[in-house]
Amino acid sequence: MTNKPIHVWDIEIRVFHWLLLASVAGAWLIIQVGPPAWLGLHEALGFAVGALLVFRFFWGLFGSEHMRFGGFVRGPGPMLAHLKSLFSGKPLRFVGHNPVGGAMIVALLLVLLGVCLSGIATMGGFDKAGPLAPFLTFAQGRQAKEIHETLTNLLLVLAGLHVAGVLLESVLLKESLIGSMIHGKKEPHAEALGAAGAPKTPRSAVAVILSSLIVAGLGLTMLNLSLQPALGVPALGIPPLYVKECGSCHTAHHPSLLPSSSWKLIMADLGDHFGDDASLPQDKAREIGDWLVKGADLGWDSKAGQRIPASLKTEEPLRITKSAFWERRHRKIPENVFKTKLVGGKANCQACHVDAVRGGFKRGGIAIPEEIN
Amino acid sequence: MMKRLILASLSALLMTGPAFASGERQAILDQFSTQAKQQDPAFKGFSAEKGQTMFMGKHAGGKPETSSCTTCHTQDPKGSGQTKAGKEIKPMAISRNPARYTDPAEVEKWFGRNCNQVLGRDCTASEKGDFITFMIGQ
Ligand code: HEC
Ligand code: HEC
Ligand code: HEC
Repeated sequence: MTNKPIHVWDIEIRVFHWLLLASVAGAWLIIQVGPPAWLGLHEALGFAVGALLVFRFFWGLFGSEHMRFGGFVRGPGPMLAHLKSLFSGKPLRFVGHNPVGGAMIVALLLVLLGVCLSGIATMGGFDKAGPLAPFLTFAQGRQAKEIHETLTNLLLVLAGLHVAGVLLESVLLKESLIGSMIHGKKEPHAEALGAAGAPKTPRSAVAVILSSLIVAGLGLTMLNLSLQPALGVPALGIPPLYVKECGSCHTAHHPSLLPSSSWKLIMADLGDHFGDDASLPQDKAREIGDWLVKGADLGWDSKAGQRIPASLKTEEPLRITKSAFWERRHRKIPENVFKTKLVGGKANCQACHVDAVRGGFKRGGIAIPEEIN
Repeated sequence: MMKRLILASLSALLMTGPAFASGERQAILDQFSTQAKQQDPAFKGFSAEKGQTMFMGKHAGGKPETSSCTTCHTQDPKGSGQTKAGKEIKPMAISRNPARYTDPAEVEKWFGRNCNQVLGRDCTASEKGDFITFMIGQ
């Protein structure tokens, strides 16, 4: 018996495996500890995971023998036999994935696909961006977000089990499976079971060309859809008169942030405006008031437009910054941050949100300004 | 030829820019002066000193939390101020902000609001003229 190690994992699958791990871990970490503006990076990593999954699909059809679905996806019979062998003290040895490990691969890939799809749906409905923004409502986006989070938790559980399985098998069979996913080799064992029926040589060109075509096609389609207007977000121009008159003491608040009834109340008493005299000549006040009411009544399916007017305090119907949603989203910001010279006050949304005047409040545009000493 | 023409008109524009501004400001001051003479026949002319006193001084009659122009504009007319909502206010001094007091509607609007806020009444034409005269010297 020769002791020459045999090649089991080809370079494609090893690069795929570690890239996938890095992308998923990175995307997860960014959401856990990154600043809000890094959401774009999270999304980019999500699309990268999607592209990797497309490649893995074709590698499962045309890759080398142990990577083909036909080579490692087995029925419940072999899975049970394998499990039994673990408890019998004489664990079965497989060259590629063992039957339970193979099932885990399929589960991981499917859950990841679900995470990617629900992520794109969250992006579309909840954040009004990306390829599904023209089709999904905010309410649907919120449901997608629930699914995205549930599937992510499921993924974490599966990933934990996957690692536990790898470690267990490494101990039971006295071989480093993690090492072989790095260098691709395993010690030869006469009794190891191979991938029955799968052809030995990969058709790399077919897999690479097909997955590139699909990724490019999907990418272009999605890019094209991303450029379409988002559902329920009207293209409303902000008149210079409004920015001049209502933007001199604080950010010119977007009409979507309050219901038209609140705007009417504000415009009816500019002489005593939150303790300030903000009175305007009648013609200008009427023009601005009409525009605000019309703008608010357009209906806004954006996050701010859905959540802020709906969560105003009954005793503070004019206060965007007293709405339950606003308070919750800003609760982690210390009071003194709002008092710094660069921010000035809670009503200066623009200091931290680049797209505040347009009513965007996209996470990508959030940055708390800091004094440079 | 074309280039020189453009250059010439550009430099003419540049030179007349501030002149335009001060012309418009003078027109506003002249208007206040006419009104002041109507309000008080003894009116002699605007005084930067009186303008300074009004700007720096504490007043009663308005809102207690804004008892002075300097509450928002700060003690230094050359520096930036801050609105109650926290937004920056550009300097009031002409030397720092030559565009000040050149749009009659803006000037009327803000005197209207701020005098009411600080003094609890409209400012007189001579008070307005004194204030602008003070800022021209700053
Ligand atoms: C003279 C200064 C001034 C002008 C001009 C002004 N505001 Fe205000 N506004 C304030 C102040 C002060 C507050 C209270 C801010 C605070 O408490 O931080 C405020 C608060 C608000 C709020 C509530 C923000 C919150 O805290 O949720 C709205 C809405 C608002 N203004 C709308 C308008 C509109 C519309 C106009 C134009 C017609 C306007 N403002 C013009 C000074 C002004
Ligand atoms: C001191 C900076 C600051 C100011 C001022 C500020 N915000 Fe924010 N805002 C933030 C930060 C930071 C977040 C993200 C919080 C998080 O989720 O971690 C945020 C989140 C939001 C969100 C949710 C965005 C999302 O997609 O999750 C909305 C909507 C919003 N702000 C609206 C406003 C409005 C309206 C104003 C003005 C009345 C305002 N903000 C003023 C810093 C600020
Ligand atoms: C509550 C804050 C506040 C107080 C107090 C205040 N101002 Fe102002 N003032 C402002 C703001 C805001 C502006 C507009 C800023 C801008 O145009 O950049 C302004 C603008 C002005 C202007 C118009 C400038 C121009 O460019 O035409 C005049 C004049 C003025 N203030 C005079 C006064 C006087 C006089 C007092 C005291 C009686 C005073 N202000 C007190 C906030 C205030």
